[in-house]
Amino acid sequence: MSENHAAGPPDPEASRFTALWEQYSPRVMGYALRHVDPDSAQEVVSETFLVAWRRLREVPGEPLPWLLVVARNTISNHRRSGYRRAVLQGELERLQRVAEPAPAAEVPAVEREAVLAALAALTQAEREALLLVAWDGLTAAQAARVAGCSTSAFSVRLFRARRRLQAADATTTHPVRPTPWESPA
Amino acid sequence: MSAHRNSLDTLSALRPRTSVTAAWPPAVRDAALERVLLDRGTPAAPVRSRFRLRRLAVGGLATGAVLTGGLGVAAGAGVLPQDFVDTFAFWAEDSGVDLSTAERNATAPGPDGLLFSVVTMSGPDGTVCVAPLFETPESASGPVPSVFEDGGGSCGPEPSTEAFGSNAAVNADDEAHIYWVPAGRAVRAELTLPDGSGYPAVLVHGGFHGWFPTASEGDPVLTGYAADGSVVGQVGIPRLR
Repeated sequence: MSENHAAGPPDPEASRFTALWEQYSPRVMGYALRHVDPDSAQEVVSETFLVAWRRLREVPGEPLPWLLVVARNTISNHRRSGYRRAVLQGELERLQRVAEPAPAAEVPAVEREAVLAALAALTQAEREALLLVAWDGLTAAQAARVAGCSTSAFSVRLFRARRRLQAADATTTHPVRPTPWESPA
Repeated sequence: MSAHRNSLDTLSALRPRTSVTAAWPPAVRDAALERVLLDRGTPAAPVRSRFRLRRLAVGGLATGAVLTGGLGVAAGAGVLPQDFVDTFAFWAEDSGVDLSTAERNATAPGPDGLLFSVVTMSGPDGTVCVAPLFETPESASGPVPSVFEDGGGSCGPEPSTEAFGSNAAVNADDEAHIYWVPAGRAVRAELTLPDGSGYPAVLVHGGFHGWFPTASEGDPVLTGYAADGSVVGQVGIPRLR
């Protein structure tokens, strides 16, 4: 962001907000891209930060969870106003678009595809739990706030998601399903 | 997938960095900031600030309860995990049960390495609240659940004396259905799916509690057995999803 307040003394609130934007808008954008198309994601980020700008004094010292809660609400509003929930293939395409195109030396393409396919096969709640921690860098308590559930419920969700992702790692040829209980003979 | 890299490590390595920049070039981002800075004075759209955990229930078990957490009741007990207190505090208020009486009455295998547990809490007037839930193995090693997913439940003065299968209650989400059926004279029960797979049912406070995966197919049937092994009856468990 170049100079935008050349005339007059610097506005402390604008300075704080601009710093907030510079540091966190890409991360909110990354979150939004996981849920909606790129054009809508830009709207979600703008609306999220407009809320932050209007309520700057309420933005906590650790702002990312707060911003993601606002982003999530904004996305919900978008969906209520006509956004169509994506099917599995749509999820996979969206994940492939937003995930880092890592160099082959770090993550071979086949590994990248396999993990993203396994991720897309999780339920929405499980996928969200994993990515709030692995990509957004939130703690379980922070992520629970964003997911809108208790910390313990989130921890269970995360536990289940990790197990399913690792199960898919072990075998990519079988669907991941709960193991039936074996009844005694 | 190669064996040298854990899938969770791979996932972390795929954390978006340059992909966000590609989807949102700096010039577009700067223009968006300019617009936001200028829009501060325009009317704000309403934003929801709270979420609720919904509880689905049918039949005789419906509690109608909505979990909001953080009520703080019994927090002074000190020995109960805060999440347990937060989740079940409304029962202390609504039914008068004492959360410190919480007891894990039965545990069975659950989905995805979790355990299915049934916890009871009682009050001075004889009211007993029964809570089925899924918890992690680590949680199950403690006296009461600490890391768990609430599965609904009910409170009543006495154990059900209804005949086996004469009633049913079901809670459900995308992962699992959790059900309750009165036991009658049955002492053991087993739920089976059309593909032959079986899932556990545990007897607590006069009723069988159990679960089955929502993603399964066909109509689940619970069969009750008497102490002598004879079949008491069979009842279909309704699907909510």
